[in-house]
Amino acid sequence: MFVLSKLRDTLRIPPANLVLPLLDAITLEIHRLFLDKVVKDLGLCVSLYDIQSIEGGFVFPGDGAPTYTVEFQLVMFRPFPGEILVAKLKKCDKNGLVLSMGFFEDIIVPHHQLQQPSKFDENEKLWVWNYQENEMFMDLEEEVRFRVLKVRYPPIPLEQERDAQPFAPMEVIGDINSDGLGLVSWW
Amino acid sequence: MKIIEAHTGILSNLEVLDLLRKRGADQGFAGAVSTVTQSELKVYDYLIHTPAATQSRESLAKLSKEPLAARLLRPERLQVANLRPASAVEVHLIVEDIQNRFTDEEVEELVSRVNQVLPAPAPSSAAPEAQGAAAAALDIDPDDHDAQLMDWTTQPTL
Repeated sequence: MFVLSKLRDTLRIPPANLVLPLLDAITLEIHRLFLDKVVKDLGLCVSLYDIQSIEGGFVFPGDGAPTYTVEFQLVMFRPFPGEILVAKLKKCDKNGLVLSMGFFEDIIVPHHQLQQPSKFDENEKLWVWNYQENEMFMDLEEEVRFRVLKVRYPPIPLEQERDAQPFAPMEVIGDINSDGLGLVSWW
Repeated sequence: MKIIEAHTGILSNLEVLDLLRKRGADQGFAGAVSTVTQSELKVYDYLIHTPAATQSRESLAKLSKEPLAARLLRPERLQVANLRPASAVEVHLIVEDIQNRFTDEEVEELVSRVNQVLPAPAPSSAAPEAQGAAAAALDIDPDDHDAQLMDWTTQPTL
């Protein structure tokens, strides 16, 4: 689920932060830039693991702030295809399920990846799995175990309609089409 | 921004939980000063409800020494530690090509060994006490980063 990635960046420390110890000022800047943000192909940044080197500190002409070149490692949330994860069911609609882990909410299980046979109950607006004559409802807020199929990083859209879904920079596509997958309470 | 290395190591849920605890996530926002950010708190809230909340480094080290667990690939051992499978069905999900690598008895044996070596996850109502007890039981040297990486993280094979 979590991996380490090593990055190098040039950070401009605002002069107001120079009263702090240098490490703290650089940590604040890294948090501002990376924490809770998605880096393409690396995943969602969860935390700063460590700072490996700090160089520079030059003040460029016309600027009041020093610029440091910092190498650091970030803890990234980046599930691998085939990984089994547990998340909460947030939304059900005709296209499938949307699951959430609290810190990451864009987990999609398309309708063709649900346990077969499943159908969408229009009255309750929930998906139902027909297992050996039993109807197993997929209620909201239930814990669901799923397998990661792939992680997508859609390109940033240039235009969006007024009521469109907020753009998701990272999407995890999952499936629950195997023994042991689906609601944790089923197994 | 330059990505020097996209994958320097893999972390188990326990290691990330330790990192967040070290940053002060278990205190939440009690008191005037909080060293941890909102987004890190959300990750902490998620992890505290997984089996990692009651694990310790010693129990993970014991797991990697188990003979059956040693036959698993690194990502499979990681998932066993993160998920703590309680039945053969869950092990079938985690391990690839299980029919050719393990017999049914070995799978059952693996499940029972995992349940003995890794502590049981706390029941959801007891999660806050479990986290306090687990945090007190850990003995981490905050400056010793290398010691905190488990054996399996030094050579990523994914």
